[in-house]
Parts: sequence; structure tokens; C-alpha cells
Amino acid sequence: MENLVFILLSLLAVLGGLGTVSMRNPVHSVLCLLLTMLCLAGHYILLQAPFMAAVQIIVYAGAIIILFLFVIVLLNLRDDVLKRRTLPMGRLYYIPAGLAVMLVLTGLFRAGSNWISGGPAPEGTIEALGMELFTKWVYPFELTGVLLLAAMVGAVAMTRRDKEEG
Amino acid sequence: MNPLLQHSLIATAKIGVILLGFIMIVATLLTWAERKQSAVFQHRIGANRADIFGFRVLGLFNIIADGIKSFTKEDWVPPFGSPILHNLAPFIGLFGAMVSFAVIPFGPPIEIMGQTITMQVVDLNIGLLYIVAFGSMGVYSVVIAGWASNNKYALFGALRGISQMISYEVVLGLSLIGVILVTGSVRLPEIIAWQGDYWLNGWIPRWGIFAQPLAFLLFFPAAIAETKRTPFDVPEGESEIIGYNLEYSGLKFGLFLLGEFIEIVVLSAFVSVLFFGGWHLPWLTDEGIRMGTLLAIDLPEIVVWLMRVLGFSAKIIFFCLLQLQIRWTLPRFRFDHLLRLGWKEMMPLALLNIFVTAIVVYYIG
Repeated sequence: MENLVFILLSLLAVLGGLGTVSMRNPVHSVLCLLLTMLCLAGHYILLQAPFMAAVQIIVYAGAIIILFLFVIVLLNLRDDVLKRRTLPMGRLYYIPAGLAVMLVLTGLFRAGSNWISGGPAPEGTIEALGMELFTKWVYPFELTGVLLLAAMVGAVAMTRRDKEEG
Repeated sequence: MNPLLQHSLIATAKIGVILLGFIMIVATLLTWAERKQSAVFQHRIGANRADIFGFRVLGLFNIIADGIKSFTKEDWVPPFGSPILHNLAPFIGLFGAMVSFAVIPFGPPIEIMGQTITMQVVDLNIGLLYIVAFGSMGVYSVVIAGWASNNKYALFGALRGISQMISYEVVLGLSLIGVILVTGSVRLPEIIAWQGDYWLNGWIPRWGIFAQPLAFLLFFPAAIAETKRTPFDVPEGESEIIGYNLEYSGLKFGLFLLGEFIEIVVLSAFVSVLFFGGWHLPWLTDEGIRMGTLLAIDLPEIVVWLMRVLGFSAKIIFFCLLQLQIRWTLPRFRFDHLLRLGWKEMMPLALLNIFVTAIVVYYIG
């Protein structure tokens, strides 16, 4: 049963990923990416990490992808731009893509016949994750917070208008 | 019986009773209640024309008439848009609203035939976050509907919708953190259990509204903004500006409407759970009514259980009606005022609430 759900979710996730890179219309691409993100949330549930699943949906599906969508809808891409299928220096992108595929395949071969079973994540629940974050990883956690704050202040400073408008 | 089969049978029965037996009926009755309420407010009589053999029953047959009308209307799909997405959009909104009910506990667990049955479909470890997560799916329904219609007015409505819903989602999430800090859990049964206690020798129930008044004042408007109803109805603006659902007709338009009404019920249930004690009634304990040292009435277990379930339903219906009242009382915000209220006034207050609550919880709790 669990394997069945895993295979189904993985198929959908891969399909979403393929759709993301192959769809001609960017809005459809973003919606395929959303499908992948939701399937990943399902994977977290299978790994018994419900908190990660919730965060996956709230942060990625609820915020980041909706911002992608917002920007793309506003872009007003014309048909001639959408018909262009090649990127400048397009061939160069084959190199990192190939490396990534090789990495995944290596991982698969090393896992052998065992590739489908992950086993539960040790710190999946919200209590356990909180304990880990605020005891063992408290300095990295706080530093990440400072980094995000700096990014936020930067973003606000960049969009700020001159002060006479208040 | 096979335990897995039994488990799924119970879950299916719960889904059936809660979703079809309660939510759908309340949501359908709300369509009627809203028409009647607006009529009272505008000094009209309201829905009263539909009749069966001359019987009108306070206009309740209008619900059936509305259903038949939306079923038989032409379902028009704009030819230059994206038909698949256009068809998908209303269902996303409905889906997000409906699945939220899975984690809401409608009453304390009850023992039937030697088996303890919880009054919620699943008891998730992340109950509160689950509702927030699926609540945030509603914005996709708006943006896809606006974009797939291939109509600039619908698109503008969708853009207003995204800006508003994203902004108020931030306030919504931040105001919930105070509740999580105080109750120490994101599991809804634990949040309700925490609210079963009393303050001042048993005179004031320890409900979320008394423990976190500011959080409630921020949460409720932010949640109404998420349901896109007046005073926050700029994405839709049905009376003069046109909204994201412009190119929808018939049943699919009806689904948007039904989704909105189900969101009202979800929000009412959520508010009751977080701030009004869930299924706890004041001074009703497991044994019976206990009012300090003044009053002590023993009640059988099943009566207490029934009172609690009915009490929770009454709370839900009260907040549904309160939302209808708010809708027909307040005028619509101007859009820049709306965004300023969210980001510049409510968000700092929400942060302040977290800060103060954290200090108090650290020193007292």
C-alpha cells in the first residue's frame, strides 16, 4: 500500500517536473511545478514527517509558486516570445543537466534493490524538529534568521520610493 | 472484521456525516439566510417567490430553485482562454475548503459498542497547520480562474485577489502563533483540552478569546479577507467592479459561490476551536454542570456529549450568522487602504502580540 502511494506520487512528481521544463506556456509550467511540490509534500507524509509536509505546502505551494504565478501573469508575454524554443548558448545547459542525471543514477545503483524504502525520518514531528532546531542547531538557526532579515530589509530598501510620497 | 476495513468504514461514515450531513446543509441554508438577512437590512421581504403547490416555507424553496437554475444554465467556456484550467479552477477552491474539515473535532470522543470513536476524521499531529496549508490553496482557484478566462477584467480581479490573499495570509499565520504559544500545541484536540480549564476560581472559562484577545481581533478580519467577502471583496466586487469569476456561468459559478459559503463554515468552526473553547461549554464538566460551589447538577454521559456536540454546532452557526451580519453592515475598503491595513497596521500588531505572549509565557507558563 505504501509502495503504491509512493510510486504514484513519484510518477506524478516526475510528470510535473517534465511538464515544468517542456510546457510552452509559462503559466502551465508553473502549475506543473506546483504539482511536483504537492507530490513532494505527500512524500514527506510517507516519511512520517508531517510538519515538513505542511511547511512544504504553506511555503512552496502557498507562497513561492503563487509569487511566480503573479509575476508571470503580469509579464504579458507575446506569442512570438513564447514560440522561441531555444535559449542563447542552449547547448551549455546540457552539461549540468547531464551531471544531475548521472548523480541520481549513481544514487539509484548504490541503493540497489533497496531503492524504494526510505523509512521514517527520525525528527519528523513538530515537537522533535523543534527540539533539534532550538538545542543542537540553535546557532545556525538564528544566523539563518538574521540572513533572512537582511534580505527582507534589502528588498524593502530597493522598493522604497522617495520620501515626499510618504 | 478486518481492522483496516473497519477503520476505513468508520472514516467514510464520518466524512459522510460531517461533510454531507452538516457542512453542505449549513452552507446551503446559508445561501438562503444571506438573502433573507440582506432583505431585512435593506427593508425588503427577500427570497419568497419559489413555491411548490402554493407553499413557500419562508422562501426555503428558493434554494431548490437556485439549484435547478444553475444546473440548467448554459455552461459557457471562453474559447480563447485555457478550457482545462477554466474548468479546474472552481474545484480547487471547493477542494481546499472541504478538506479542511478533516481535522476539526466536533465533540469529545464517544464510546460506541466498545470502541472509542473520535469526532474528527483524522487526528493530525499538525492539525492547525493543515488548515492553514489547505486554506492557502484557495488563492489558486482565484488566479487560475482569472487567467484562464482570457479577459482583462477577470485578470485584474485575480491580481487583486492574489495581493489581498497573500497579504492577509501573513497576518493570519502570525496571529495564530500567539495561540500556539499559549496552548503549547498545534493539535486541535489539545488546543481544545487546554481551553477546558477555568480562571478566577472557576468563573471565567480559559478560552482563547480571553487568553489571546488581540490574536482574535487580528485573526477574524484576516480570515474574512481570505474568504473574499465584504468589506474585503475587492477581488470580486460583484456590485460594480468585476471580479475574477466574470467568465463563469451556471453551475461553475455556483461552485465558486458554494465554495465561499463552505469557507464561511470552515472559518466559523476554526474560530470556535481556537478562541471559543471548541466543544467545551462553560461550566459543563464530564460529570454535569458545575458552577463553582453554587450549582452542581449531575447529568448522564450521553447528555453531556450531546450538549457538547450541539454546543459546538451552535457556535459554528452563530459565527456564520455574524459573518453575514458583517457583510451587510460594512462598506467595501478601497484597495490601497486594504493593503495598508494588512501590512502596516495588522502585521505590526500581530508581531507585538507574539512578542508579548512569548515573554508572558516564558515567565508564567
